[in-house]
Amino acid sequence: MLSRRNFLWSSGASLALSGFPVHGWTKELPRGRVVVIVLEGGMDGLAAVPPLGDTDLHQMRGELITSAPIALNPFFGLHPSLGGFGRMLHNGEAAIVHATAFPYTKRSHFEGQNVVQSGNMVPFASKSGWLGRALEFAGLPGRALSMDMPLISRGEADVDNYYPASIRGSTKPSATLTNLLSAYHSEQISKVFDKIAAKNALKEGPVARDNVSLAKYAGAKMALDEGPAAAVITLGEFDTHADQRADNGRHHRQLSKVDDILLGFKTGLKDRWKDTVILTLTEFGRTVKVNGSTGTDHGYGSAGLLAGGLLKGGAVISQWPGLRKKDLFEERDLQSSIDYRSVCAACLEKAYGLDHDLIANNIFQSPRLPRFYNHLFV
Amino acid sequence: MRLMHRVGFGYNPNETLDKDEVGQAISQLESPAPRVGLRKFNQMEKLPEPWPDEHIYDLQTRVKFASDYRKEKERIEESLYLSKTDKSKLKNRNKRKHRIDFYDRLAFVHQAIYGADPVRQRFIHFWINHFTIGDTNGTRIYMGHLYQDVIGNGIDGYFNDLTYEVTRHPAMLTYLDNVYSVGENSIRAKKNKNKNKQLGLNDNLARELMELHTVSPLAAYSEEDIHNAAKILAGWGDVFNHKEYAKHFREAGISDMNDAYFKRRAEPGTKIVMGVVYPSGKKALRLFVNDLARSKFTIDFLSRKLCVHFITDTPDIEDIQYVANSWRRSNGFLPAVHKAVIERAALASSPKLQWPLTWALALARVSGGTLFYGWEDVFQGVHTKGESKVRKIMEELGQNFWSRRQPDGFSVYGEDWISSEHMERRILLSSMMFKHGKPDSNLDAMIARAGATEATIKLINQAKTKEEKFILLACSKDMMGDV
Repeated sequence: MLSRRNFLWSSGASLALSGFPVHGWTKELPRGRVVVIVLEGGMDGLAAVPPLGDTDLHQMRGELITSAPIALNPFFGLHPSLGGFGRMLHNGEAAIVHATAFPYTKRSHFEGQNVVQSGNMVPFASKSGWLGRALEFAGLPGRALSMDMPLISRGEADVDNYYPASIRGSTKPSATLTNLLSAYHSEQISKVFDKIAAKNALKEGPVARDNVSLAKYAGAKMALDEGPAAAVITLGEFDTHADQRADNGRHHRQLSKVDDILLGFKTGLKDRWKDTVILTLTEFGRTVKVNGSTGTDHGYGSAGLLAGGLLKGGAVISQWPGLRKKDLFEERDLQSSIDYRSVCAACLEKAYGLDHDLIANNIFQSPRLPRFYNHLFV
Repeated sequence: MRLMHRVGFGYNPNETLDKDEVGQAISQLESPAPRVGLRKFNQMEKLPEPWPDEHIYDLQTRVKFASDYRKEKERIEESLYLSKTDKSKLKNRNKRKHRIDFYDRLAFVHQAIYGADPVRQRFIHFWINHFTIGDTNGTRIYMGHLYQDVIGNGIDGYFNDLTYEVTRHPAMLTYLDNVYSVGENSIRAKKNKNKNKQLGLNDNLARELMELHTVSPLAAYSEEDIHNAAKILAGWGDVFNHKEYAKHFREAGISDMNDAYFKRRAEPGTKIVMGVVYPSGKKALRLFVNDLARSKFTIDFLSRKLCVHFITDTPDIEDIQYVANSWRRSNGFLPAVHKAVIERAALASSPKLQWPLTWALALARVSGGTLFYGWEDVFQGVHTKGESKVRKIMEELGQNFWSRRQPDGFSVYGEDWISSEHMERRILLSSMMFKHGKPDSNLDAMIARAGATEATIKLINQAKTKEEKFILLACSKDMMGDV
């Protein structure tokens, strides 16, 4: 039998669910659901969605172009390891935004990851994340299910998280014990012991270790009326400095995990799929040129993959900046011609019914953030 | 919280409490203690013994094991005659024979609990985390060597030497992809016969050497600086766990695995990084690292990080300056820097929440309870009622130093480790240790060793059972810290 340690944690991916409605909710619950798949390390948009119609592509990175792309339109192809996503696109329930990024250009993983999760353009300046703040504005600052809350889903207010422990041969603490610890400790830690005391014993079965099951599980939770309004799946190892290759390399194994996760969510969400939008989020794209080890180094512009029944769907949305040296950011990276914050904002607007100006002002602190809603949802 | 908890793992039941804690802590920095540990989880006498020599592996052996492991694995996988069950049996045997990271993990935790130099070990843990290695591309076989030998001995010397040794270590060269980096104008690239495979630079290690290990983004270096740093690094390392490694190394004239510079892969010519010109060839890395280590940005960045880890999340500017001054005066001599940290930690009144693993090791040390397998248990597949596998406990606490992780390491801020899940795990682990680890039955003696305050003693007295008293002490501010 699988141990509970593997709960919410499969091969290389971890899950956090948040925005469970607070008990005793009286208003009508919003139906919309947002899933963010965080691709850590820098996803190569040019490998996932190669612009095959751009004649410079072959010259710049011939050995990284897949030999069997799925044709999307005369210009863009899709990597075959995203076959499931390709079918969603065909059915009009997915979209791609290409040549896009958060306007962060310094190519550090840790600053970049912090920026794309916090939604604050100054690295390490914010203790909360854009998704967490959106849940608060939507009135859903409930509990979260994860061992460590990813920054993106942290709100300004304190959110309780839970994640069943598995330490054999131990006894669950009694309320007396946690009350004693709560009374003794200083405020911040004291609150935590109160939460342990208040937590209901969870009767969760184990979840299988693969990504599909993890996503199905999350989808099924989100399908419930009182289920979580947001899920964040973190998937690492996109930092393919070496051995990225064209077909069976490291990057493409990661892309098939994304494909599995998308399909898993669709299965798990059932009817709720039509109220859901899923989007990928990565700190930056990768260099256009191949490096010395069939890989790529840190870049700027990348692609965003979106799926879910809320989308108008079916299209690759891009203002293609070109791949000639003079077209590239600092003569090396794909430019970003669409601010990805606008894409995130549009998803929040659609799923949680928040006003664009509120999102721009209060969630991304950028009053002039362009509204991208019509490209995705109308 | 007493100093021995801030900068060490506390006192064990056989240690005498010294009035001069500061002097005692500093004296531990000066001399490494022998490696020790327990033979068996369930042994009656909990007396540590010298760690067996046959489970200490040098770099040469590790590189050979890595390649033998790979060869054997391929042989088993390709066999046409073996059944599926036989294959998996043989694969496990191959793992046990060649994948020695089990022993590395054990030695790591046993030394913290049973060794005579816990303060020294705490500084080693700090630097292991600073120079993070993740478990990817077969690094795990080298990690123990980097932790125990390179960093374990390196803290007796200068920061620039430590950084140089870590940077050219197979674990680091592999983890941050330098083993794939080839100068664009190198002999190797020019004589490249395979036209489909383009050879060139990989800037992963160069970037993290600057961003995470030394000057940090405070230094405001440019992308070109990183690129040129990658040129300096090109040539260091080749795929270490390759089955043909012996041939590679022989051909390049390399006998010392920690000095694996492949001239054919190096970028010729001088290189300029942050305005400084570096010569061509092997010596450039040494010079470059010296400059990075000497930089005022490095000193500021690391003095602060040490204070955050050992003193408090928001250290006073005086603390940071005291450490930085010692760094400057001693030219980055780590024993002097660490001594300064201890001196400031001794004066600190602000609280510091300890890492979950630091806390667990301290609990085992102070309580005399057993938490992990002994070295004899490992291959005998002994199962005890408590969770005794090192990896499982590290993972449950969210702090496995042998996991796949990003190069920025675990957060040094206590605040990042507060959540109901983390705190509940501390309660559960204490409960498990009380039930199965046979801790010291004399709770009052343990309270004295932990230096428990009046408030903590009052707390403990409110509990009814012995187990609850034990848990309350374990989760007190004196053992765990605070924010």
